Amino acid sequence: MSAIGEEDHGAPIFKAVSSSARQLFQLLNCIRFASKAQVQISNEGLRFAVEESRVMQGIVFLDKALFTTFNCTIPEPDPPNDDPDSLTPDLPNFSISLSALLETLQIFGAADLTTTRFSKPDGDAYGSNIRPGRPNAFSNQALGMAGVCRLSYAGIGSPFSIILEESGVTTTCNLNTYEPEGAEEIPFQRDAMQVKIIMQARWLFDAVSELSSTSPSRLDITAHTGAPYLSLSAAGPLGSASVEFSKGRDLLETFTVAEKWTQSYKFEMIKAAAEAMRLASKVSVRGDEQGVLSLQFMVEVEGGGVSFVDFRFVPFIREEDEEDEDSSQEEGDYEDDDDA
Amino acid sequence: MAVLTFSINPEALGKLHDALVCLGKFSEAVCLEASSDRLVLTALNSSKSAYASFTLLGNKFFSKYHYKPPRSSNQAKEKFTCKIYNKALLSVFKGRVVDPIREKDTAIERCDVSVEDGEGKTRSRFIIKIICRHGVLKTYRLTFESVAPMHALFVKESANNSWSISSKTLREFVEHFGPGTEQLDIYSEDGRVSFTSYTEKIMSGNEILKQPLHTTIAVDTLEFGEFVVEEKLHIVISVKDFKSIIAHAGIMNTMVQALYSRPTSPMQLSYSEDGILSEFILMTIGESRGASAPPVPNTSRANSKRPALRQPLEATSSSKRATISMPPPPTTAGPSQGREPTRARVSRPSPPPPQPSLQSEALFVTEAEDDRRWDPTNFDEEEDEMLLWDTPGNKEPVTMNSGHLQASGNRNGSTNGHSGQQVEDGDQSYTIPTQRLAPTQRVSEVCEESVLWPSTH
Repeated sequence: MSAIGEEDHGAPIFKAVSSSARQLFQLLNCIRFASKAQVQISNEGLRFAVEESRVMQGIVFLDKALFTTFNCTIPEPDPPNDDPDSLTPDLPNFSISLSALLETLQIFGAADLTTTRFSKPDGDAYGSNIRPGRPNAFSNQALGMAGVCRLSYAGIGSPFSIILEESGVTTTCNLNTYEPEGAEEIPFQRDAMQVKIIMQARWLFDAVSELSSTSPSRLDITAHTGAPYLSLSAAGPLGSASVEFSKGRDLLETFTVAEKWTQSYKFEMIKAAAEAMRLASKVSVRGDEQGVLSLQFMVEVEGGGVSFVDFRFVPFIREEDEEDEDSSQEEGDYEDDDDA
Repeated sequence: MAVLTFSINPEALGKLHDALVCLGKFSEAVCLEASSDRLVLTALNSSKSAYASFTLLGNKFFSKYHYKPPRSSNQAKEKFTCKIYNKALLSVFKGRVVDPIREKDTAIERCDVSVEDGEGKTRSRFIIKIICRHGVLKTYRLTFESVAPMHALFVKESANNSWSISSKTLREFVEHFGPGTEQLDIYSEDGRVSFTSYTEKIMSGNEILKQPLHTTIAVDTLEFGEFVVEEKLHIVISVKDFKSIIAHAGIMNTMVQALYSRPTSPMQLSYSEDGILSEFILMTIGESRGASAPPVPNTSRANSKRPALRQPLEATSSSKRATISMPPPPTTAGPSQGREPTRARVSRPSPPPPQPSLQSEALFVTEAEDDRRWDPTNFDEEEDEMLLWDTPGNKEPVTMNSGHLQASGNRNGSTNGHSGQQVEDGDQSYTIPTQRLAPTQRVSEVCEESVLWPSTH
């Protein structure tokens, strides 16, 4: 982590300064479910992508607007150095330890007390339910002790270096970079979208933390064209639970569904996005024909501007008998609705 | 078909949560018993020494309550009973009461519960529907086990001692109890009531397993709303259970009433507020007079206490195995020790009479086929152990510590292949060091006792 790699390749490809490591931390913390992140630097910003078992993917895009200065000199097409099988040969691309990066960014306590490295970002504590990241009277920013965070990357083979300065203390950290793992994105068919819902991320967070009480392994998401517009349900050893957003019109900002859409996902994976649900103000839930779920979170960062955190999930294959079970379950639901 | 349906408003939901938290401190499962006008939640701890129950009155606690007796082929059942894992209920009713202002968007408007049970195709589920603002509906379907709960019985008529005190005051007392203490002794004399929480010193050879600790709070009887208690009566209960109760009672502003008769008979603590009747029955330990003797005036009590404790080493093998395996840890109230000149008296070991089994049956309605607790190796021994906490000769409930003692004693006996008497000796020497709390103990005595233990090897 500290070893400085090879000789400098002249001027660094990328240099950026941020007035606070906190925002970067908050955003990257949303995808901390994996330890390694694929980083891609472009003129627009930094893109961090993580994935797990090829069925879950999380992407954070640090827009250049988050930085006070942002310089990216894409090296000129340099045939000998260029990697022909890379999809984006022109953009600097590497892999980095995300956990180490997060540790570094919170070295001056950028993290909230509730999201220290010891607590999992699953939002178990209901008390920590309030949106984090709101300026706090005692945060360093408010006390005028804002630090500076410089990021730089010299080129292939060289470390990703982070220099944090805060009230006269400087920390220099060089994180080794690794060969990018050419993980392909989970394909999401925008043209075959079956459902699109935009809602407050808080609702989703609330629902997911509610369901987690039954310690389920699977989360079923159903979008109906009618009454209980959106319902999330899960079953565990102690029983089953479901959350329905029946007054869809008030709750859901956008709700587009062609026909009833049901898919199941691994609960633990959806829960891994809980930190993003907690932080974000809005979420766009989209599902395509194949059942791939895309969750796009809009995060309002301090000092204006929005950033996006993106997740994609591959669904469980739905078996015939599962369908039967589900349909009987749903019959139960309707009966209950009649009672109510 | 819904057997039971009820609705709870948000405030009552918070109270239900508090009750569940309290029940959770006694047992991991909650038994529910519904009848036409009330719902009773109960929990009995695993050693069956503490029982908690909350009675929720149908017309006061709930905004709607309807019980429809299940149609049984034999006869209409008066009550519906079931058992639910408390963790499941707690996660449903979890601390969502906190912060109604900040959590405005997800605030609960109403909670409807229905219990479906029946033969045929209906699924037996405990269904909780929580209706939040903006029409967010959260539905839980919990599985339950259909069993009859065990209730502890308490005979109010025989409880000649009673006091009542504000729950807030009790909460202040409890704050002072040492964190590691195990027993709570309640004692009154000359208009002063002492609450003493204490732990006895436990030694294994030269190793100190537990340091002694005593905290006494003396209160004037005027602090009590009512105080009718036999003078100089020591009654000992578990601090942990007491704390669990007061943690709940302290939330309310109510009067806690205690009723009890004598050591080794149950004590009842109860209070009520807003349609919830809370009742706890705790087993008491403490100095036993011979249980075979009828309750006698307290004057004789001081003399007859702790037969086994002061039992000299010539304890004969005629003692029952129970006494051997469970050496009576020196339970007595710490403060009393200094005051008793008679404690050095060598009293006769009185084998525990068989009576305790009757007592314990009186406390618990159904006890027979419950899980064996500490993985007994021997049924007879287990039988004895089960009763120990209210056996006169054994004044401590079955706890890990006493289990430890027992284990050590047995190991000692078996490895050496010695007779039961030797084992007894070993156990004696275990218990003796704990008596050194008493300021009256002579150093010579201490030394003498401590050399005894190696001799049994």
